Amino acid sequence: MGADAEFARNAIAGARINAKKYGLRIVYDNTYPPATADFTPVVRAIQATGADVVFVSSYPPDSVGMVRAIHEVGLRPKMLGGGMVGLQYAAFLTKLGPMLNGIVNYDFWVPEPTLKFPGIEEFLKKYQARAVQEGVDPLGHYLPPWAYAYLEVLGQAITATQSTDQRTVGEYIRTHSFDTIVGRVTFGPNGEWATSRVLMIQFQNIRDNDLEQFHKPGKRIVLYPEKWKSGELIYPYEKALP
Amino acid sequence: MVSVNLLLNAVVAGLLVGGFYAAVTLGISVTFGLLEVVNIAHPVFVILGAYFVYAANATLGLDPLLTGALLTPLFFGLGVGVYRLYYACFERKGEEALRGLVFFFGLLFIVEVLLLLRYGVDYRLVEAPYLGKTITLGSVGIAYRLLIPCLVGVGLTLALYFFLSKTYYGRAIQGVAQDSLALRLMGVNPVTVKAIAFGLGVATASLAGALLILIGPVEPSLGREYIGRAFAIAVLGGLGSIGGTLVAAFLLGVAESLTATLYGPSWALAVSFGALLLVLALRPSGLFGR
Repeated sequence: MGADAEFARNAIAGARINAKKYGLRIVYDNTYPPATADFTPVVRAIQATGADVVFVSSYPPDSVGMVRAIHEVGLRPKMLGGGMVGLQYAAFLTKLGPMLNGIVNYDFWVPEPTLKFPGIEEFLKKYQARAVQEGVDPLGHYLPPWAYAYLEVLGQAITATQSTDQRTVGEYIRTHSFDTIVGRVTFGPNGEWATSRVLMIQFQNIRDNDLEQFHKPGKRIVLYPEKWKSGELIYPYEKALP
Repeated sequence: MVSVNLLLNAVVAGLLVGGFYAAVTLGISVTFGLLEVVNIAHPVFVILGAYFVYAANATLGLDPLLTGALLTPLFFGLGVGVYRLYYACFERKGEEALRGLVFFFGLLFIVEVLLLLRYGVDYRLVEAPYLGKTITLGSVGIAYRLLIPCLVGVGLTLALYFFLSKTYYGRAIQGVAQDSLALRLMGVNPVTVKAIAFGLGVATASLAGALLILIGPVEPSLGREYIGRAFAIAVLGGLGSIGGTLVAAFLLGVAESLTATLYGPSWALAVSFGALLLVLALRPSGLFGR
């Protein structure tokens, strides 16, 4: 299930390929239009199929609508989540609180011990102090560390080549590794990271709607990539619910 | 597997969301349906209401519905002001057709940009003790998040219906919609009546905004997504028919919900607008239009 938009359609296309690869039978495959006000009919339709795994690819307001509808309807698949944009922001984390437990979703950085790279704490301390004043996401875990790391890569490449020529800098970036606040970055021949660093995390042990808990480890457990794994998947989904 | 239980829940979900659609559309039914002012900016007033509600909830901890209700006089005044400006610049000169439409488009974008400058692009939500709770009646689950907007939408429709049919000003508004010249000959200033009606339409937006942010998070440009749907409901119900607006909102809500349940949500809007075209082909004045 996903939004009728580019990102969500791409993610669903990937999910279909993976489902086929692992021999999973697809029992429900649909998109929804923008400004869908209520997701309970969709969630009930999914519930009626008895799906074991529910992959959702959604934009922020829809992610909130889906999570709420899932709890209102009582959908209990064995696994739930996927590419739900918005469940990384403090505003949604605190508003949804315990309803997030058990959902497996993508993320970019979370405060787990396996991801405590040099410089990240200092960066977040500085960012979070400004974020409150500026009225933006007070956690800053989702995009800011990667955005900062991009500039670290660029800065290191310019310093090393003593050049701002795009071809020279680009060639250096393609052929070297860089230490950043999100760890060591190396690009592959296709321009993507040599090893994918998109995390799959599971929300666990969220007891209330307090923001403070999301500053600490143990709430968003890294399941994948294996190198950064910080805990075990709670399976089935229902077991993670309070 | 399609079961009676699934269908029943789909119909109830459609009715619930239909009540909310009615609340969003009422303002358009008044301004567009009765006054023939193409107030395409109405959804942005709904978003403005949602942001006021958010601000009161985040800073003072006020209940969203209470804030929405308290804001109605402010929005009434805002509506009166907007109409006075529109009248002075366009309607009085007989230039309301195209330039008036551009005026409301401009207003929509200006409010959107102001909200963006103040609150940024982040989505905003509210907290209320009844959010997240569900009641079960037999095999039907009803979320308070949808039940409350539906009840408020129905209540708002009834209140507006009785105001328009039972009060002096209400009848004057209906009069100005039918024949403003006759109203003028009877010593009533149609511009004042229209300003009151426009203010009334915009006042519904503060409550509709509270309902919108109860259902889900909002961001400044969200209102645009509701323009087509709200105008479709107003036309389907019959322009100027407040009761028709409620019936059309329920019909559209149920059609969307059943389609989403049985065939997938991507078909929901197509079926709704298909139904609208069919109704207009058979009855061009809408279901309850004169």
